[in-house]
Amino acid sequence: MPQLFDATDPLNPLWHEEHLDFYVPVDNTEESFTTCQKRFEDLADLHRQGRLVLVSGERGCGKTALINRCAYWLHGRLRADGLGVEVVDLTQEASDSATVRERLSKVSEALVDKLDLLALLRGDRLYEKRTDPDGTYRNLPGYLAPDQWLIVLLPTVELVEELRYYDARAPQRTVFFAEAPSAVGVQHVSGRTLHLRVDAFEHEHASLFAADRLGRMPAGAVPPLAPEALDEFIQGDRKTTIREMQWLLFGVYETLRVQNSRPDEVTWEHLGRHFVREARRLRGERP
Amino acid sequence: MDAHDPDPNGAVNPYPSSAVAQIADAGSTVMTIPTAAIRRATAVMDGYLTALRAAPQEPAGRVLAVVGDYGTGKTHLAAHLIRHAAERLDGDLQWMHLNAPPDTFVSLYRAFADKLADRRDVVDRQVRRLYADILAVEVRRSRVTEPLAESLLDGSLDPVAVVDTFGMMEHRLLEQLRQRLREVTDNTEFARALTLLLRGGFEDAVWEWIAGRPPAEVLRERGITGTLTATEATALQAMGVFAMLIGYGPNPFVLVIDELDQVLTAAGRRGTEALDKFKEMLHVFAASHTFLIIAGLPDLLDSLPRDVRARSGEQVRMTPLTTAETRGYIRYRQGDRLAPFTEESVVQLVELAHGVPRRVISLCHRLWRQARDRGTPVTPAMVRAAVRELYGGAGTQHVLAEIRQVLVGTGHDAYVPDYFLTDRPDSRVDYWLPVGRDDAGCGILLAGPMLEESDVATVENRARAAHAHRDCELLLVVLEPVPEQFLPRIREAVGREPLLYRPRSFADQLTAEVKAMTGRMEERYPQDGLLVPVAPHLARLDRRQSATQHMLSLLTGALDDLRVRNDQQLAAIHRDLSQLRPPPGAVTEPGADDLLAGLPAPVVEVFERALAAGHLHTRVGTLLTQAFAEGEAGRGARQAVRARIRDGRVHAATGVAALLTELVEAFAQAVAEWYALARQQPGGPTVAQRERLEEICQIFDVVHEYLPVFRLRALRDLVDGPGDGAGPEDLFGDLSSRVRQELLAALPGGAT
Repeated sequence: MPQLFDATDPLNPLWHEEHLDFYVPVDNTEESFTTCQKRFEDLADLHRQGRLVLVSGERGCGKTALINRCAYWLHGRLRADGLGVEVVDLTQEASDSATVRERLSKVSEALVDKLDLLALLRGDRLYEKRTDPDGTYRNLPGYLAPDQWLIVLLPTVELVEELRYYDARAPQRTVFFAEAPSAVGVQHVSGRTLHLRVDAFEHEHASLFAADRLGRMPAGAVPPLAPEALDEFIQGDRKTTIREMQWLLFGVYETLRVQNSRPDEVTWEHLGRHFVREARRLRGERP
Repeated sequence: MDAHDPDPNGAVNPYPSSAVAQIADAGSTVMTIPTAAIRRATAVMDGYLTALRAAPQEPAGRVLAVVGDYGTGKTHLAAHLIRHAAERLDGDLQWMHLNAPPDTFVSLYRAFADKLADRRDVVDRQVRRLYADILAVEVRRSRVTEPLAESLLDGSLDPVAVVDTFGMMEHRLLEQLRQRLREVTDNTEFARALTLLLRGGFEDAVWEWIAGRPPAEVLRERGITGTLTATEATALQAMGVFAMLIGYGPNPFVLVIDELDQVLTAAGRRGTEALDKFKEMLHVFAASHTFLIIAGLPDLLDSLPRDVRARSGEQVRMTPLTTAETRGYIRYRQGDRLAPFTEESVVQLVELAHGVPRRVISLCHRLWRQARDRGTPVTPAMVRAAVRELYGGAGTQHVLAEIRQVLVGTGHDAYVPDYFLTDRPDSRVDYWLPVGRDDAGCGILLAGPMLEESDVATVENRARAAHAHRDCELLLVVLEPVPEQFLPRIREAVGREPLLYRPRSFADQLTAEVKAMTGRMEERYPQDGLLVPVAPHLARLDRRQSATQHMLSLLTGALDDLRVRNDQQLAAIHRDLSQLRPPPGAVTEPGADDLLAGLPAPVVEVFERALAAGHLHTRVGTLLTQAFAEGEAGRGARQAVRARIRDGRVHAATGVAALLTELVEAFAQAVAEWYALARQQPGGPTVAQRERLEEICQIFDVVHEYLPVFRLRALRDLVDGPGDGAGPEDLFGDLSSRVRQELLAALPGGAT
């Protein structure tokens, strides 16, 4: 995986365009992306009121990667219309353990800070009141150039109250992207919000994912994954996630890569040994 | 504490200097005498441990109630059970010891939460254990990950780290944990809060909430809205939750709640709700894997309703040490030797210590040292002396103070301390409560340890003297239990069972006894007339008002000053004053000027000076008037008033000044009457008249002696400011002699 700090980091074409090529149509990630594209074909509504795009799902199922992909596409879509557009990443701007009030305030403050740094604000008054989220979102369009659009990546939202706030307050010419755990009560947001779901997947999609990753290697460079290996790993109603698959395959093949002798194929035992090895590492023992 | 005390001679005293057990005692010097109570409690613990091992999934919870008097070894027993269990489990035991506060279950929970806060790891470990259980099921679903299950279950793999590192489905697993916690604790809010403990950043908010504070906003947003200490019910429920949580799984948890009777006594006063919740808590503990030890005084079980008592599981009553057990203990401590103790001294020791282990050990410590110092064996006489030293005088003052507090608190503040019913020294009662007429009343006697025949005889004499001279009800308060053989004699002499002083229950018991005694006396002396039906209410109101006034005086710091009057002195003053007064109808309320009108000028001058000095309260009135004045004079007066008017000494001095004025006026009146008669004798006063004058002067001197005239200084300081000079009281010291001298000088032949 090119340009990733950690093997399990989500894809991010906003930073690395080549990541676009690494999306695998597991679960309904592809359908979700298509839904997003369709929703934003017509931008007329957004001139009147902004929009919240909420992606919910289990941890590691590709929520962040999907948001990054959608934001990248929307950015291009707006640019293609000759509009000014800025992607503002606020995903790290609020702590999980802060109150909703504190989080809203922090995000609003960080948004205005970044817009100010980008010299996108016309006038200083918004900056002075940037810790007041109500005032910020109400007045934001007036402080931006008329053809300036914003794509705002929000921190993870886990409380309905916060979700409803962004649902109701997205300013015109602004699209909020937020991810939420699958358990959050998304039924409480309005129909205006675009809700995309991603989830864990079964054996078939796991194989698809593995084939994609291994297919990128030169022929014969690495041993193939035995057909039954994933059968043993994903049994019964057990499911897996993109993150788990990425961690497992990367770990197993990285270990094999530095070994002197390589097996003809990677079996479920190789996968099992990787888990045991990592468990030892967690216990502070030699892997 | 079981530390040995080095002897001054260098040898080590084999007995601990303090026989107060600490639950943490685990040293090799701790010795447990295998009494019947210890053996029975140990059997209950063994049953618990066996059941837990045999069927870890089945609730093995036990409740063990341990009751006994102070020093009978309840805490020692609890500590023994913990040591015993820890030994059987190779140290793999969680336990906690609480001293119940004399308050509500809310306070008990706070004490529990405080301890828990110091041992966050216990809770954290249990939550992670539950999480590991869930994760183990998850990894066992695949052959690839199955080998991890064992490490998760034995605790060597942290489930949080596993989920994070392996990229497992955290949301779903945490939701499963929340569900499991709800099943375990039967409490949704706890399930939410405890789940949050596994997520970074919420620990402090959750632990603040567990400590009993209202939930922080970040918790309220997540559906945790209740405060655990809001009511006794929520506090008990919270304790139950932790019992379920900590006692979950195959590892045992022992919780000791010592002195529980303190909470139950308080709870009992407020109705049945708290007791119902307590019952529920016992049920929860029994349904968990917790071994709950509740310990308290013998009335712990008596204070519980029958159904709650039934839930209190096994009940162990601490029994006194027998002579054989004590002998065994001494031999153990002294390397299988009995000396310097003897068979006889051990018998005496057990008898006088009533077999109470704490006393036995304290006495052994003291007696061993004495025997060592003297180079003699321990004799029965030494035992008696040691008992007197340890349990005789010490605490008497404290008990007297507590009796006083009860009397005042119940509105009986007309009590007389240290009251002699006759001239005989053995007629002294420690407190006398006048009730009804004819000097009838109730007496409270306080007695030290009754070790010998002479001790009993003293109490018998005191009780009989009281009954002989007054119609009275008596109560004997004893600091030590009365030996069985002396009880019938004490009951017979006093008229009722002696009241043994026990620190926590004494006030309540004494209140009940006093109420009963005074009630009986009031029945014997009903009031006459129309007020009879309301008399009890009036008496109660009066007592209540007295109690209120007393509280006020306490608040203003005037208690001591108001209490200094001695009833005997006052009685004498009244008696003597009545002699100075003329018979009713002779003279009615003459003014000072009228009184002095017929007297010779020098005598008038002496009296006027005395009355002017005694009229300090009049000058106080002037000062108070001045305080309302404008300008500097008013400001100075206000300062003086503010500085001293609340001083109890000023209050007392005002009373003394009023009495003194009355005394001087009465003296002047008697003198004037004497002079009116004496001047009619042509040759001067007769011998009888001279003697009468002498008598009048003596009466004045005697009454003056009784009055605490020195207290007038406080009033003088108020009026004149502090000073060291002679006070007004100095004028009265020779008043009578000057009056006599001037009177006789004014009469023919009188100066001889």
